[in-house]
Amino acid sequence: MIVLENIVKKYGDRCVYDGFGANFEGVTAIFGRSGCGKTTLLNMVAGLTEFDGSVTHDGAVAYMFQQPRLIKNLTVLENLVFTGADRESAEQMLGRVEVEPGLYPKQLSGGMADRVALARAFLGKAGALLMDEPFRGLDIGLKVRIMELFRTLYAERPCDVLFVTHSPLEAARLATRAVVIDRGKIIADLSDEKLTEKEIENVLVSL
Amino acid sequence: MSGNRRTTLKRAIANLYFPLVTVGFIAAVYATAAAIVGESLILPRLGEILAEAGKLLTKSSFYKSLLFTLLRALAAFAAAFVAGGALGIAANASGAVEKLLSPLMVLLRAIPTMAVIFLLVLWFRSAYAPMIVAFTILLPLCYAETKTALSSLDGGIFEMCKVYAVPKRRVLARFVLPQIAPPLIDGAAGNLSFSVKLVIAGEALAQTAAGLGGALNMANVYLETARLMAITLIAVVVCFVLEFSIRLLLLPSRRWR
Repeated sequence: MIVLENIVKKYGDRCVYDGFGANFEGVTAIFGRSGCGKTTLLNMVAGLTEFDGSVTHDGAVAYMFQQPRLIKNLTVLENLVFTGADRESAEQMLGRVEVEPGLYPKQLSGGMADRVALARAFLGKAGALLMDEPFRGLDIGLKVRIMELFRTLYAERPCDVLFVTHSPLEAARLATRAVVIDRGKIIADLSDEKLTEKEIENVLVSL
Repeated sequence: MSGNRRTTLKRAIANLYFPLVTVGFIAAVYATAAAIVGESLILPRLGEILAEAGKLLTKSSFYKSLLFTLLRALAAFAAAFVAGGALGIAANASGAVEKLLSPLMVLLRAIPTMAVIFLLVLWFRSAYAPMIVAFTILLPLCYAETKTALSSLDGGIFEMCKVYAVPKRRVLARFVLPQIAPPLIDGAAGNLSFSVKLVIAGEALAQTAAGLGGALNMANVYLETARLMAITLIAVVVCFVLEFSIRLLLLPSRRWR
């Protein structure tokens, strides 16, 4: 479980979170307007930004950033080994995401690069996986394919996932819970039978 | 040699065609100008220059001059590369260091090259002055190149490394060094040639006995224009070979750039 307690985060005079607290388990989709602090929330869990309060989670953290953040002088396989995976597991994982291990990042399409980032995220056997609009900019066919891949990998290596998205489709397909954040608070919380594309759209439109 | 590497080398050699066309054009313009002027003292014919170069290349004293010039240029370049690199790293790491160094670098860049040469020739022995001249002028260039190379690194990768707890040594060896090497090598190729030019200028003004600059000075004093041009031609060829050799180090990075 990812537990955030009494979080205070400011950018200069602007207070993004003031005493925020929440528990996240399973796959949680995070919605909210641009600039409301969604990425900040992920960065706090990942330890990439300073804040007051406490964040706890099981095991290590993996992060799928908005950009795949692959090292351009390393091959795809070397990129995975770079972050600590052993060569054999990395090769197997690349086979599963259908990317040639000897390619360099400049030779990858957007979808391939995202699949490599997904492979990297699941290779670490993390307890918490953070995803920041991981399927942004992909066409619908590719998006669905990568989401299926995510579901398969997640079924094998379950962990607590927080993913920021603007897409009700992604949330309905992947998440077990969806929350909407506004002014540093959770203002809507959907799960179970309410977690449908239509229901999420209704909530987002009503904002 | 692997197929890929052979193809890259072939491509690098193919890239020489265009410079050769330019060189041919310059030679043709020069030959025409020399034929029109018709005065060896002012513009010797290409044949005379090449003959003079041939003569120089049979003399051991010329090789000694060439060697001393190259050693001075290499020493000045190496010192500037190391010092400029270290200062560039420090400035990139600390804003305060960058602010402290900034006026010094602006000063070094702004001082007219000839003023540096005259002053240093005045203050130091003729054998060392050309080296110090080259070092002084190359230092801000190496500093700026290091700083630019470091600041061009993707900050997002450092964040990714932090999240995945990648050891710092691995980050340095597999990410930082391989990515800053190409721009630094590219800059080094140009700077080494520039160092040779500066050392020759310093030697000529300091009347350094052993060095191409000293030989140029003597040729000028005795109005041996063909010799002066021959020494210049050899210096240009040496600079070209040096630059080309260093740029060969960039070949492996072509795979990912």
